[in-house]
This record gives sequence, structure tokens and C-alpha cells, in this order.
Amino acid sequence: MPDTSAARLSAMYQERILQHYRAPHGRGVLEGATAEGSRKNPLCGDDFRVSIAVVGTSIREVRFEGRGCSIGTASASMLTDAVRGLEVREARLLIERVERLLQGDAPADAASLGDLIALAGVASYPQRVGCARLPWQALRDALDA
Amino acid sequence: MRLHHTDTFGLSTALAPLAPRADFPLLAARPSLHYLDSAATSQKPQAVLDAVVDFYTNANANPHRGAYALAAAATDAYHDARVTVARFLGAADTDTLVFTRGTTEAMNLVANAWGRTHVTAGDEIIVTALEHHANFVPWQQLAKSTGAVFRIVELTGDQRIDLDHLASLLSPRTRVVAITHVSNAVGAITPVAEVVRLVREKSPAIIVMDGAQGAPHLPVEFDVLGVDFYAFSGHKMLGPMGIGGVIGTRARWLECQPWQFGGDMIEWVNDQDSTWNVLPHRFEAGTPNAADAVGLAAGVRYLESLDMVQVRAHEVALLETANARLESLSGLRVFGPPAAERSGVISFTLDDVHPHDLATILDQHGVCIRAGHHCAQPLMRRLGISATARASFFVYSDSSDVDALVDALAEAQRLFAPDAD
Repeated sequence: MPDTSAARLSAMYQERILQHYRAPHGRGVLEGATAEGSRKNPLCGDDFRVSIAVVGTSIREVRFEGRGCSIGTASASMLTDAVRGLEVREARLLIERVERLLQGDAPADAASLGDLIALAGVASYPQRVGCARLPWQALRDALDA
Repeated sequence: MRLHHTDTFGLSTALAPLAPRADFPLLAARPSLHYLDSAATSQKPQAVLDAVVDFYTNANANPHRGAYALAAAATDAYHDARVTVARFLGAADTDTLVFTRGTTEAMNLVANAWGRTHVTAGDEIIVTALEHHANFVPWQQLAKSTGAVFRIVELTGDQRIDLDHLASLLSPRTRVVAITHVSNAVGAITPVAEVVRLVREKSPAIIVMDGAQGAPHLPVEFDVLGVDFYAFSGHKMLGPMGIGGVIGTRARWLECQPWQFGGDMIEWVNDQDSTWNVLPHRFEAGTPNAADAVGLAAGVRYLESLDMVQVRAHEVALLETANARLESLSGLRVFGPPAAERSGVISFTLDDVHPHDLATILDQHGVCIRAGHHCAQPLMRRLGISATARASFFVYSDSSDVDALVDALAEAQRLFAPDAD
């Protein structure tokens, strides 16, 4: 039986997060982007830019650039997987759901979140929630732009 | 003295703490905690907590104001604290120590009280790329508002101040050289005598030294250092948060204009003008933080009882112990000069593991380190990184802290290692 803190730690650094960190999806410059948002964490200097290409009301493509810790990078990587193809309205709802997840409020329909559910472990680390939130804030800025 | 004894097999034996953990209530209550963030703030011995409680229990009144015996006791306690701290930092002229909230306020004081009346357009202000934001931004902003030229001394490959570059920047127009005694971010110790010699030879500048990491870790003799101002923070040297100060030469203080106005700092208030109290009160407007000054004095006496030469030797021994053990980690990059020129700070990055991830994983092993830019963004920019992880030692640190650090780093590296396949 692992002790509680070790279990919490592995809950945050689960294999899914580490896979996204080692080989992030959707990283790079988005040619033809229609909007972008950038967020910096003033505490550590981590910096993410999220670019989107919106056609009509749907997000045709999304990419991220920047550097950060495993939590921020995995969050950005998962974001690109989850947001590609969504309606703008759906993307805004997803941002809200991720925010609730990071607050420790796992939704009943967790399965529909896919890989994003891996971010639930971050809620146990209030100092790290900001890392996971950074790319989603950048996405919101892009949607508001 | 507990310096690195070696046994007959040539293996290092454990390095005991210089000060017993039992003296520090927070550490005593957490036997498995490895507090390696003393560069951010030190833990406090019981003697400091007792001194603060004793002031409020037995001497609480407003210093310098009441005519009754209790007010005199408060005034005496505050004065005694000034005497003790001035003695500890080697300033014979006690009244040249002005208490502030800490180094940050001290730097803002000097930049305003001296800088605003002595720096004009075309003058030059020099800082270094090692500075904490608190000894960088006040001067940057003074330069902006006065039209002075703001120059930055670059660093050597091991993050020491490049003295040749400093020499090349100094000129008859240099008015201020603001420089750290010890870098908070990488631990590099400034060769103060050489800096003072260069500045005096080539410019009329005042030297303002950030002693936030110097006063707690090195023997300091203000009257020997030869700088004009030396600032420090009490909470990094066993004292409470919210108290610190700056020592200046009397001549420089007399060139300063008051920067904050109010009670205690005035001599006489006329309808249209006022006159100022004498040193040190002239620069301490408002009710002073007497209780925390008394607490700081208790911390200083505790350090004196350990002897600052021994404090420094203890930290060097810990650094050497750590260096030997850290060699086993691949992908580790340690910043700053070798132990002989570095205070008890190990600032590092580990391949593949972001400093924030390191701090979280180490925390799970009871190891407290700092991860971030250490309020030294100009330095981080020059290193081409956004953050480092930093472990820092003090009097209560011992080799078990080093062991816990190295073991937890190895664990973090295992967790983040790329898949074997």
C-alpha cells in the first residue's frame, strides 16, 4: 500500500502526463492562424502561446508554442488534441470544465474528457494549478481576441 | 568545530548541524523535514520568538514618545537592538544603522534619499547582472526618472561579476555602483575589496551593497568593507520578517534628504516648513518596528554565539559534501563559482526535469527547495533559462539534508527518464 503522499504524487505525475511532456502533441507555429493568446507565469517565467485557426464557427486547427514544466506542457499538448475541431462555443465550455477539474471538482461525465482527466491529480497541488491553467488561459485570450 | 572529519578509511563522516535543531521549534516539530530554502528566509530559534513575546509582554509602549517608565523601557529595548545589530555588522557608529522593513525598503530609501538629490541627467548608475530585483529596479527607475545612464556589469562564465567589465564602465560620471555582496540566485561572493578599490580609483561614485545574503552567511565588518551603504534583511538571519536595515557612513547619511515624513523623524514643524531629527531617526518615520528589532537582536546574538567564521566554515563543508554526492547525477548543471567563492547555495538545473517539477517531487520527500527565477530575471535571461532549482543551507543544515536532497533528485530523474524502449 503506497503512502498517501506517494499516491498523490503518482496521481499527478501519471504516465499520461509524462507521455505528453516527453512528446507533446500540436507543438509548433500555426501558419494561417486567425487568433492567438499568450500567457506567462510570473513566478517561474514559463510562457505559452496558443494559436487557433477558426473557420466559420469551428476551430479548424490549434497549435501551441513555448516552454514550461511537465504539467504546463502536458496541459497544452492535451489542449490541442481536445480543442481541434470543436465549435468555438464548445471550446469555451471545455475551458470551464477544465477549470472545475483543476479546482478538484471532477465531473460525472469524466470519461468524455479523455486524456484531460489526467489533470485532475493537479488539484491536490494548489501551487501547481497555475501551471496547468496557463495554456487554457492563453486559449481563452485567443477566443476573445 | 564540525568540519569534515575523515575516518581511517578516508570516507567522510556525517556533518552535524552547527546549531541544534532543538533550538528551532519549527524544525524540532518536524524531524523529517529538510528545509533547504534558507536563502529565501531562515527558520527562527526559540530565543528570537521569546524576545518578541517578551517585548510585547514586558516593554510594550511607543518608543521615543511617552514620559513614563514603560515608554523608557521600550525606547531602551529598541536602542539596545540597534547597538547589538550595529556591533554584529561591525559599525562602530551605532546611529548610522537605520532600521527598515528589510533590504528592499533599504534600497528604495537610498535610491530616493541620496539618489534623487545627487543623480542628474547624463550621470551614470552601475548595477550588475547578478542583482536581485530589489537592487536593480530602484536604480533602473531612478535612472529613468533623472535621465541618468543605466549600465549593467556582465558576468564571467561561472556567474561571478566581471571585474574587468566593471572597470571599463566606471567613469567620472558614475554616481552610484549598486552591487550585491552575495548573489541570492547562484551564491557568488563579490570580492568587495577589489570592487571598492576599482570604484574609488576610477569614479566618485557611492557604493551601495546588498547584504541580504551576505550578513547571514559571512563575517561582515562595515567599517572595514569600505562601502557607503550596506543593506540587510533580518528574516534571512534568524530574525523576524518585517525588520532589516541599512548602515551608511555618517558623511553619506548627512548628504541624504528625508524620503518619508511623519512622526519621529521631525525636529520641529512650522506652518510652512519643518526641520529634521538627528540620525538615525531622520530616516525612520513613524512608529518603529521595535518588537521585531528586539527579535532580530536576539537572532544576531545567537549567530554571535555560533561565531560567523564557523557559520561560513559549516556552509563550505556542506557545499563540498553536496558537490561530492551530486557528481553521481547525470545531466546536472550547477551554476556559480566553486565553494571557496560561493555561499551555501546550490542553484542548478537537471536535464529533462523542469525546476517546478523538481520542487514538487522533492516536497513529497520532505525536501523544501526554491524553484523559479529568484527575483533575478536579468540573470536568468543571460543564462538563457526561465528558472533554476535552488537549495540553500544555514546553521541548522546537516549532511542528512544533503543526502535527502540527492536521493530525491535521483528519484525525480528516474520518474522523468525517457521510456527504456
